[in-house]
Amino acid sequence: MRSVRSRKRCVAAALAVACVALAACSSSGSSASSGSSPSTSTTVAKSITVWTAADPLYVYQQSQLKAFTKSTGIKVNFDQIPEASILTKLQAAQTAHDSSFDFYEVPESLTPQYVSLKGAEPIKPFLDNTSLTPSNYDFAGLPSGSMTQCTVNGTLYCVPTFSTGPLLYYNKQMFAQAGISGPPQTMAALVTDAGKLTNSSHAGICLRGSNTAPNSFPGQMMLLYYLTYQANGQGIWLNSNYEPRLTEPAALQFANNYATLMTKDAPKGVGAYGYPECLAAMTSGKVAMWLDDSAAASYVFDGQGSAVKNVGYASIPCPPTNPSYCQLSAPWGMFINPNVSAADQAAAYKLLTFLSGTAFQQGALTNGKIPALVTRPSVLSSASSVKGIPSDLLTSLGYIQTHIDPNAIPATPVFNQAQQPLNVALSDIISGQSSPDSAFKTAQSQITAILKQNGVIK
Amino acid sequence: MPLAAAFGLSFTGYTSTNPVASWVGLRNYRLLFSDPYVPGVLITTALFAAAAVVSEAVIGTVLALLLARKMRGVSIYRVLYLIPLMVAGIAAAVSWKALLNTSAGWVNSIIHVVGIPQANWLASPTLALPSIVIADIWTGAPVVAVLVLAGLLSMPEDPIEAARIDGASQLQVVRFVILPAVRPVLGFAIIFRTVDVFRQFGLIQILTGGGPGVKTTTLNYYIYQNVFTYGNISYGSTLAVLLVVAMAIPLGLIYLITRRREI
Repeated sequence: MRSVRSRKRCVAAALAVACVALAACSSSGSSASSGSSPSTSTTVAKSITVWTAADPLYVYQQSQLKAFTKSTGIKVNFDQIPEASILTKLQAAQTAHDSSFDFYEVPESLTPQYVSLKGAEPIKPFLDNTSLTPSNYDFAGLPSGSMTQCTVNGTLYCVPTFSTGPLLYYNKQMFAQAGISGPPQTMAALVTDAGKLTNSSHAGICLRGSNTAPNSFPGQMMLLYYLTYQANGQGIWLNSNYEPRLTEPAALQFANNYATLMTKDAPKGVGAYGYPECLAAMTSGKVAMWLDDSAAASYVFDGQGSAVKNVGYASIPCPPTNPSYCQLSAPWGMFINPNVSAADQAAAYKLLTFLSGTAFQQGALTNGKIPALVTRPSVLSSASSVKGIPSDLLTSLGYIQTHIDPNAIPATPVFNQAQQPLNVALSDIISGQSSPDSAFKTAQSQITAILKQNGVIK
Repeated sequence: MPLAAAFGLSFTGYTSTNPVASWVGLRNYRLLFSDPYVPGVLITTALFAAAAVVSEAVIGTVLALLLARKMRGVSIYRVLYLIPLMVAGIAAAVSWKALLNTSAGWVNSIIHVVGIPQANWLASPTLALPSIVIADIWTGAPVVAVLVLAGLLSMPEDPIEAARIDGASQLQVVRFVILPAVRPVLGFAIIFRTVDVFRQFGLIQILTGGGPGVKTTTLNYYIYQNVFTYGNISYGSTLAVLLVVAMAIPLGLIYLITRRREI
């Protein structure tokens, strides 16, 4: 009997060792990148495949690909993948060094992850190749804040495909009825106004409340207005020693204001709200304000299916404690797959310059009415009035682009994991399971434990 | 192979940004004991599995008994109760989220008309898990019903008629003749549903995202968060091993109960 058990243990141990060896072998497989260097290659493939999210923003991109094919001769297979699954699919593809796609569009914040998986090709060698880069391509005109999120260890791996930032959508009629003359100019005024705007027929404000929305997205938008700015790249709520700052008085003040907004002035059930629910509440006249990403603006101002026609747009000015970098931005970027041939990479780069070029972005603004696709501040500033797009929206987007925090969200698994206690703390505050102070103190200790376990802090 | 790979990865430090299977011994297993979320996640998983599987077994069996009756138009009812099985899981979850929306959902609208206070179905610490259980029952009970119905329809009529001739009431016929006859099928249905409930993901992701707090975070959902949100693949694999162990306990109990009664 003992020998049978012993044999079984040996088999189990051997199996475990074999699995680890198998995993190690698969992880150490070499990249399929081949061919000549992009800095010297002039051969360009005739067809490329794009992986992007199934989102109306990209429908406009797709509609312009005929013009790209006409001017370059490169045919584009535009593969739109549901947004909920594209990141998972891409991660699996990159782990396997998949070469079935040449160009992809995903959040810039994931750049370090793709670089470590050898799934992102540096952009600079292409930029230096004069046979590939159009002579009128204005690289310097791309926004520095967004470009920083594309950069790992000084190497640029992507270029922003759309621009985002915190935007306050507000119902002008409800503001007038409450006797409020204009949008709030500070976070304190936002809290006061939300209270005045809340009545039996509508709520004062909507913020994503669900953990996975994630609720920490609008939460961190607000935190940038409370905590002093950290220029060291640790994100919004870590100090220069990578210790969390959630028990600082300013963070606790945010937590208490957040609790007031979400428990008194937000729609009932906001704890389960994601972005679609807040959008629906805003466009159906059930909330007076909505603080969320500016990428949603196109869905609000086009008026389609919206009962509210007089929505205003505002960017809350940066506070004195953080005058230059108060805008949380989570832009998506355009990447080139290194696991394809140099000719395919060259063709993908040509698409990248087309989509980030001035002409395409001017068209996206004036013809497509999609300001989110405009990443160049010069395009926004030169179009102070565009028929069909509210002027206060253009002004707000211009402010966002010039005040982006380039270091807001360090994209590492440890940091992602460290955000979980913050998500849970905000959710606990909304549902009344913890007081704001208690929730943030718990999150502080849990984040500290995670960072210690992973060797980030001692 | 996936199970073996997960077991192997649980002894490594494999993450999405450090995709190297470096040996870390039992470090991930020690983390299980210091992870503040694991106890709550295990309790939630047990509560969810127990509530959903027991409810689905009872409701599914009652449905099957009703659908096995010989009456006009019963075929139509049989098809109607199969509809939840034809709906894609994600579509069902999105529909349930709309129905249970606190401010604009149909459930609260109907409740309001009747005069009952409107409930905060998906964002309340006390109602969120029951809401997911209800949504799971909607798809799970018909599965049990179909399997038990198949067992009922293949039963010989003679024992039932004999029991009735002996003076047994309808309840006694069900209790002492029908249920013992369909017990193997019911046991299989319960095992099938238990496995399905343990790996439930879509409903939790769409309805609550594991919240409020971590009140609806089950072990399977926590694995997803660790692997795909945090990129912590090796720790996620360790949790997957824990899930296999956690599933083995109720499945083993069900097997033992079924076997003992068969003897």
